[in-house]
Amino acid sequence: MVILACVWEVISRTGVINPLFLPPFSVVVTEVYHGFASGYLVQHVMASLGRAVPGLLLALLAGVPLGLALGTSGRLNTFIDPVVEVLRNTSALALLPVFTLMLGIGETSKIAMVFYAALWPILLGTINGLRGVDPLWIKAGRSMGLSGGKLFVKIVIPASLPSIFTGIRLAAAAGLLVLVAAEMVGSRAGLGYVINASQLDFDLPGMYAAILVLSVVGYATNAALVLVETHFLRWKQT
Amino acid sequence: MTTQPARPIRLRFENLSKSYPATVRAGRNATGNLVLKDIELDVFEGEFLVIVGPSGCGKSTLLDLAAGLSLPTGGRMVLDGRTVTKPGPERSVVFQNYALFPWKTVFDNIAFALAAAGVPRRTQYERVRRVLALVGLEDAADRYPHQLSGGMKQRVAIARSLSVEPEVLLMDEPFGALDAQTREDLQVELRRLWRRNNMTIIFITHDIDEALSLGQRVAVMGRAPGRVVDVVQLPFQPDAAVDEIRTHPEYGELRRYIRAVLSHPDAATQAAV
Ligand SMILES: Nc1ncnc2c1ncn2[C@@H]1O[C@H](COP(=O)(O)OP(=O)(O)OP(=O)(O)O)[C@@H](O)[C@H]1O
Ligand SMILES: [Mg+2]
Repeated sequence: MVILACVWEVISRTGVINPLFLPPFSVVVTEVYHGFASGYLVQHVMASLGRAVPGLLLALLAGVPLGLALGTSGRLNTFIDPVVEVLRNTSALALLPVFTLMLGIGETSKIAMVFYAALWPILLGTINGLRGVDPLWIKAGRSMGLSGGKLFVKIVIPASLPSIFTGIRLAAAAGLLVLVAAEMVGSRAGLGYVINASQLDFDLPGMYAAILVLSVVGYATNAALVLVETHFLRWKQT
Repeated sequence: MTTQPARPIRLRFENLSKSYPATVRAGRNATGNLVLKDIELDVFEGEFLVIVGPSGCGKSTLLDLAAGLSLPTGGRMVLDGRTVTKPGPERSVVFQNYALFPWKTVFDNIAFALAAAGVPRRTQYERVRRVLALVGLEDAADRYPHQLSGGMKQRVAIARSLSVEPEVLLMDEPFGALDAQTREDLQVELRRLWRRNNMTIIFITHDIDEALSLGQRVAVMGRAPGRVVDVVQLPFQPDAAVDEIRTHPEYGELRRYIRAVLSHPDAATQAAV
């Protein structure tokens, strides 16, 4: 990371890449500092998070139960599988105009897009998790006298957790990606908007500052999720 | 030899058959998936019965049926005069591949079985400690299964089954992954437990020496389809030490005989011993 920053600084300062297009790292960092000091960037980060977090939470609330239902019911699964396959391969970005058309350019359409993009990784992670449950664990549980709901809650769900968590992390990344794109196209707030607007104003340090903040937000989100994950999955081989 | 004193029958494999549904690839060949054919076997109250048989002959399938984890496709499985349709608290299984829950510590794996059996929480701690001491794993209580060696996992699985104090213990090659020393220790321990707790044990192994030093009777299976070829009554005293058994004058002959039946099922004389 430090090396990357140094390389950035050097190639810009030495003019390998025109500093007009790629301002030195130190300049961008200063810009980030000013952005936060003035509250300008804070406001846009909050705007983005205000869309990403509800979208992700909704995807989680819908995706896990739906995945559990689909993964458990064999018949439902074969029926729904093609539908899921098609929908998840329909890029959320391609659907951007559709969302805008149906839900307007307000917060609802942004949250809905994050929700849509995040739903599939969570859904598939959950279904995969269920498929990966070792039948031997079920057998052991049954031999101890467990059945039905108890078997599900005490054995199937904990056994599926690793895959569900992987789905959640992929969902966060996908949601953020789609959100930025949506903000670039039709929004007056959020990091995506800042990136796009600064570029139009030819405020390149401002644009890079927003990109840098975006990377940090993405990184921090992932790190936070990994932290939660290691807490719940401390039994996993590291 | 001595005639069997009339003892109550605990488990009865009654003309039992098991076949798995034909896969598409296997075609309509009905015998292709017949795993167990006409198993007739009585296990007496308090008996230690060992089953030996070649790999794939259906030993694990047989144990699943006794455990009530799967249902026969012919005949019936009887426990204390009643047809077995599901697992029950009087039976406990040690699975061939341990079947420990990787998301639970050693302690919690055992406590889980106790909770499932309805043992109140406050007595769980005491009982987990006791069975862990029994298999020499007191220090591993807080570890996760992936932090254990194969032998340790097996001992946890055994401890977990013993913790619920079952009347019928079904063990599927439970000592397979152990080193010779631990294996012998646990054999001695298991025989001691069996005598003390008056358990009925079905013990699967493919080690003839293990079969001879543990059991009272040895059922020898053949394969394709899986069937009981012979049941050998062992002449050793229940309280005999493993060393005494191995130096018993009949030991060598029995060992040779079981070996012969295993490799050539036709060599079975049924009336032998
Ligand atoms: N669920 C299943 N579906 C179809 N066939 C099965 C199933 N389970 C077992 N079999 C078949 O039944 C036969 C007996 O299997 P089983 O596991 O009972 O053998 P085993 O005697 O325990 O072997 P091993 O000594 O290797 O453990 C095998 O041929 C196996 O392929
Ligand atoms: Mg087996």
